[in-house]
Amino acid sequence: MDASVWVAKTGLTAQQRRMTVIANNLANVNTVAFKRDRAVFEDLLYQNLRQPGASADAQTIAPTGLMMGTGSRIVATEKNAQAGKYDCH
Amino acid sequence: MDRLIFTAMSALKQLDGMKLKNSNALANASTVGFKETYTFATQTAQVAGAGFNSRFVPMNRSNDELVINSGPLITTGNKLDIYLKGKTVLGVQTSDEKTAFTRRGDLTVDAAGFLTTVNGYTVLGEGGGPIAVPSGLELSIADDGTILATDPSLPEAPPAVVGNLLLRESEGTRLVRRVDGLFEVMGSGGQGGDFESGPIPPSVQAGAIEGSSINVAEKLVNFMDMSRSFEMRIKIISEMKELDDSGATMMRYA
Repeated sequence: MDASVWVAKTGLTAQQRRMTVIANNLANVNTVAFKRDRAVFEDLLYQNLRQPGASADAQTIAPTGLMMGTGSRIVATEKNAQAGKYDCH
Repeated sequence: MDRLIFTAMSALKQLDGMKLKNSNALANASTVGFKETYTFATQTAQVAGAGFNSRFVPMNRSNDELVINSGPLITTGNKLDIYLKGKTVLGVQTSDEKTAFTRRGDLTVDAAGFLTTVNGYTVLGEGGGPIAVPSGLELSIADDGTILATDPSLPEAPPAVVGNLLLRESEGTRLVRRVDGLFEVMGSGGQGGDFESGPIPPSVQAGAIEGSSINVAEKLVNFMDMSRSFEMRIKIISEMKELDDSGATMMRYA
């Protein structure tokens, strides 16, 4: 199948995970001293389709390579340790 | 054989690369500090062969230079997060211990006490080495990339300088992407390396990160455009079949 659909799918999977992280943050709105998480996205490895300096045709060479991205993923969740609000009972 | 369908097919093939690039941008709509490369340009190339010079096929000419523009500012409140202003890029160490650059500003301290990006690249200091961070101190990053540490038990004491981030201003420098997604100077061939900072002093803003520079709506419209052209080209190929069929019918009556 078309490779671009799979590349787009990696983005969807990552966004789905981010929603889980956000949903967890929301679910813990009333948890004492809960610190929120942030889903950290990273671009996946690039596919080198053409080396920089490879010949474009018989006369010319391409000054730049051609790096094709393969999508994204969630690499980590980062805790935000900001102080929460005071709550006097 | 009919050459028209081959011409239509070569046009279809050229769409593949563009679609791949577009979906990669879309997939990275939430990647911190993601930057786009220049788009494809299509050029016509003449096909040599017998007959009239009537066959032209499209060929992609790509320019993989990165477009370093300012993405949206996202305030996180995290003191180690930095937003790289203008065309500033941050130097990090690659997995093979070379210098490459990134626009990611979500920094953290790893288990060994070195400053790293959240996705695991060691941040380099002005001298070219990693930055060791003392534990137990409160860290902050000044606008010029100086890392300051204050002792929470001595709030009045002036902050101590821990190190300086390797910041470079990329105005006038052509950056390209590496296989690992980091940036390097065009022509380095994957070897990385430092470069001369541009005319504007590099600067950062602490407490915020830079979102992706992708315009999602634009990418979706691009997608619709590309799938329309795909359909049109498929239609040309099937239309040719009908033309061939009617040609065959004429021969039957002859």
